This record gives sequence, C-alpha cells and structure tokens, in this order.
Amino acid sequence: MFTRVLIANRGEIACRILRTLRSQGIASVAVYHHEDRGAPHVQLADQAVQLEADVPSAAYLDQAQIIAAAQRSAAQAIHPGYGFLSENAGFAERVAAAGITFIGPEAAVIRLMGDKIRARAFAIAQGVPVAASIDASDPGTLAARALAVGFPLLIKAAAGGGGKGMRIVRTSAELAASLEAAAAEAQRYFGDGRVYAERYIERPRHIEVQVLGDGAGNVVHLFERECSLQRRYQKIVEESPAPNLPEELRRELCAAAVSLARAARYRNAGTVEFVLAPDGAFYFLEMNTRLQVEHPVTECVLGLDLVAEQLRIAAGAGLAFTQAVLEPRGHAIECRICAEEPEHDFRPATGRVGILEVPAGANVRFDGGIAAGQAITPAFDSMLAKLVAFGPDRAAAAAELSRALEELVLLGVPTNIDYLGRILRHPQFLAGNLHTGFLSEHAAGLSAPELPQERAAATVAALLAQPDFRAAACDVPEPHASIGLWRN
Amino acid sequence: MNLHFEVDGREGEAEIIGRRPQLQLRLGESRHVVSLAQEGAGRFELSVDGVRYRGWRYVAGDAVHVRVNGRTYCVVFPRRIHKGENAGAQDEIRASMPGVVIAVHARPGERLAAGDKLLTLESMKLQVTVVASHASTVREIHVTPEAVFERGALLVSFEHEQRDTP
Repeated sequence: MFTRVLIANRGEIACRILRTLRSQGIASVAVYHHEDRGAPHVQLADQAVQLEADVPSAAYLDQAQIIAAAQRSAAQAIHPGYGFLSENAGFAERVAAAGITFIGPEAAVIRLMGDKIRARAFAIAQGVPVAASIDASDPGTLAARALAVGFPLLIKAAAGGGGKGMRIVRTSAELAASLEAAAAEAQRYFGDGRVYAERYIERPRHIEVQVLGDGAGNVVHLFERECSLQRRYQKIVEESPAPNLPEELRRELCAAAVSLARAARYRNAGTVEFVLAPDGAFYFLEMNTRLQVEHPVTECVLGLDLVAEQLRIAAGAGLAFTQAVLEPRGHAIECRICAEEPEHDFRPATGRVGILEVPAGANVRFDGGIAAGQAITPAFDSMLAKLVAFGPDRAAAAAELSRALEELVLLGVPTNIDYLGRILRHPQFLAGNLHTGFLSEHAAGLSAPELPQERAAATVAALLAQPDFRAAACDVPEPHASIGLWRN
Repeated sequence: MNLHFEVDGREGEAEIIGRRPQLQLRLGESRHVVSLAQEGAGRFELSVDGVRYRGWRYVAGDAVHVRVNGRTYCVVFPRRIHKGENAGAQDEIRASMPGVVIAVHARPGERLAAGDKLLTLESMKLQVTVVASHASTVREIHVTPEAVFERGALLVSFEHEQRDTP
C-alpha cells in the first residue's frame, strides 16, 4: 500500500479523499492555488504544495506542476478526484511516465471512453444497447438518415460528455444548421469538432451503474444509482437504489455495465451511464472513468469506502470482494448544496461562509470542502457540499434528508438548501416519478412559498441586529443595548 | 427611527411605533408585536405576534442573513447617500456603492445648512455631490480626495443633535 498520496483536486472531494487516506494511515499531500490557501483541504493534509497560476482553476489543471509536486514530496500515487485532470488520458500517461501511480484506469481506456463516438462503437461491439444515431458526414443522405432514426434528435459532441455541448433538434428543417453550429461549438470548447446525433428520449431516467475492475479482466458492479433530477444536465439529487425499477431491468443494466467494463479490462472505479426510456428500454450513454460526485449513496447502501477500494486496486491488491457478497441494504439519497439563487434562475452566488452548522445524526453524512469564514468566489465550481441521508427504505431516507436540510445552517452566501428541501418533500418525488425533466416540469410547485409572518419575523431578527435600531427599540443607549441577554 | 429594508425583492420601511407594554413595529404596511427572549453568538429567539421563532443570523455588510423555520432570508438595509431627503436623525453618511472621492467641500466643525455641499464622489462612472440633508455640524470627514472607498464605508459624521421626532 502507498505511504504517501497526492490529491490533484480541491474542495469537498479533496477532503473526502483525505479522510480515507487518514483512516488508512497514509500521508497526504494537497496542492492548492493561492486563493485556496485557507481552504479545508489544505489545512487537513499532512503537506501542502502551492501551485502558481493566473487563474485559480488553472492551477489544478497544471500537469507539470502537479507532477513536480508529487516528485518533490515523494508521493507514490496521485488521486485525481473528479473533474479537473481525472479524465485526462495525457495526464495519466505523464504521471505513469514519471514513475508515479495514477489512481484510476489506464490511459488508453480513459481515451477510449472519453471519445463518445468510439465509446458508443465499443458498447455496440459488446452487445450493449445504444440509442440509434447518425453522424454528420455525407450531407446528401443526412436528412434521410435523420428521418430513419426519427425526431427529436439530440446532437452531441464526440469530445464532450457530462452534458456539455448538447442540443435538441426537433425538425429536419433545423438539422443541417444545428449540426454545423454544434460542430463549431465543439471545435471551440473541446478542440474536436466531431458531432453525432442520437434519438432523443423524452422524459428519460438517468440510471448509472458503479463498477470496479482490477485491470486483469475481473469486474464487479456495485449496483445502480438514479440521477434523474437534473438542471441543465447537472445532477442535483441522486439516490441508490433507483426507485420503481423492476428487478429484471436492474440485473440487465448491471450486467451490461459489467460486460462493457470487462471487455475494456477496466481498472479501478468507473461508472456506466444509461438512459432509461419510459417504455423500459435502456441505452448506453457514456462511461465515466473516475470516481463520481454521487458515490456516497453507493457507499451508504453497501457499507463500503470506494476511495479505499480505489487505493487498494491502484496498489495492485486486486478486488476485495466477489459479486456474490455484495448486497445493498436500505436506501440513500444525496443532494448537492450549491452557492446559487434558485429564485433568480439559479445564478451563481458569492459571499462568505459566515455560519456553518452541520446537522447531527448517525444516518446523515455531510461531505463539504468549506469552513466558517471561507470566501466563496466565482473562481471555482458552485458546489459547496453534499448532504446524504440513509434509511431502511426510501421514505425514511427522504424524511431524514429533509430534516437534515432544515437543520443545516449555512449563512453568508445564498444557497439552494431551501429548494432542495422542497424537492425532497414534493409528492411526485416521494412517489418516485422521476425523469430528467422533473425539475422544470414541477418548477411552479418547487418555488418558495410566501410566508408573510415568517418573513416578518426574519425581518425583525435582522432589524434587531442593527445597533442603532436596536438601541432605539430598547430605548437604551448603545452599547448597553447590545450587552448580554435581556427580556422584554 | 425609520429604517429602509429589502427582503424577498420587496422594499419597505421599518418603524418603531411603541415600546410599552411590548415593542410594536411597523414593517411596510403591517404592524407587529415583538418580544425578545434569548440571544447568543449568531442565534436568536424572539416572538412576533405571539408566535415564537428560533434561528440564526449573520451580518455581512448591509445584509443580514437569517435562518428561521428551516428557511433562509436575506434582509438588506441599503445605505443611501443623502441628497436632501429628510430620512430622520442620521449622524453619519455611508457610501451606498464603492467609488472614489473627487473633492471635499466641508471641514470638521463647520455648521452647514440643508443643501450645503459635503463631498463630490464618483461611482460607476457617475459624479455625485453629497449634500447635508438638514442643518448640521460636521464632526469629521473620514475621506480625502482620491481616496477609494467600499460600499458601506463611513464618509462623514456629524455632531449629534436632538431633533423633534416626526
């Protein structure tokens, strides 16, 4: 096992990885940009190396500096987390070339799954269902081929993924222009203008399967997660198991994921994502060759530490268990807490973490990368933390998460905490009627209700925090009015 | 005293209309009876119109973030630069936007009439002249020409004077 690991990431996932390293007695090295110098992941690590970059997020993308930091600190392995360089095949290669273990799959597999057109072809070759699609070549037959697949179509970039660079085309009149625009966008954002178009499934569910492979052809699945509650292709609420899913379908999805990963001789953790159509048909979407944000719900229902499994596999010790011993228990739901204003079209917000009170409870887990006093700036992603609740069944997990959200206090920066609570209490959520359009469809029912008396109470509490107003209200001059407790 | 506030996109004025036997406040159009209970670091407990509320509050500049009943509110007290409005007894002028001082027109100890110039400021590419809202004596000018200031910065303070409450 490694004695020192460098984490090439920040925020909540860096803190999450650090927790496992600490529990295993492995020394940790954090990297950070100057703007993150007060961040928890820097304070928690055994060692921290500052990276130089003009733009803070660029520091975490600087391959040369990160590898140099690993070499200087004698780290034997690098955990890339998610986002940043986690799915960068070139980085994986450079890390390996430097004699350091990259905690993740082989570069060739990262490259394969990162190219969505190649990944689809690979899935087809394994007999995994994929949605009918067309590519942008041969303009002469384009319209006919599109009609054969059927509208609406969803245009995707080969080098995209994670919801980036997608657009819906509903009529053949728009097709050629949309493909051209999408190709230009893809070239600009991903440096690769290849696009393809798939049959767009209306009201789909997004179901994904967690897999672990040892790189020698042995793969286990860790069951599925439901990630249908999304806004602009960003997941907001995730859970395991997927509600209202027939057992047979669950088996098929997991088997398809395993066969794909096995064929790729997959090493380490990965997730195979599927789209589930209302008629019960499912189609391969993409494979993410890294740990995902929502991995905690899998950990909760299986009682596992996925980061520990990643370290184990990377250290060459293989898989810790066979498929037969894995039995999920209960239900877990996670929600992503973001610095944004739901009532203003979810625009990202800035501020400072003034007060942070994390809810207690044996069945509640708070994975955060923030601390009281920390500035929240536009420099980084708006996700601040994840709140996860576990229960013996879905209703209990939802009730526990709703309670935890009400108890959570995060003041000083606007967040979506109240909005998340309303989702968790929505009758359609509780009935498990989920699809990727859920949040738009129920937008009206999810907006904040007006509670004039409560608002008045909040206003009074705020007024009495203003020294002048308070002094006038108490008819007692400052500073006496502010000292100590008093009763009216 | 009156204090202008904004919450949930609504503006209003807060006024104390009575203190005995309990504190009575007007918030915009509605009136409320308030009594306070406990307070501590960040926490508060009070009752409004007979209903008890417990929660948290955090002051950040001219905004107060409040968490009560599992719901978060942000109450803002915008500080206005006075330009001849009579907004009640105000012993200081604070900047409502960041900016820079162009010129200082008054001196400590100077007695001013309503409308007399105090400062010329530039904010968001606009020049603004701050004047005394009523007859007052300048105690101190806290900025100098070319000084850069943030929102909420103290610009001018006046000698406190007893005034008739409107």
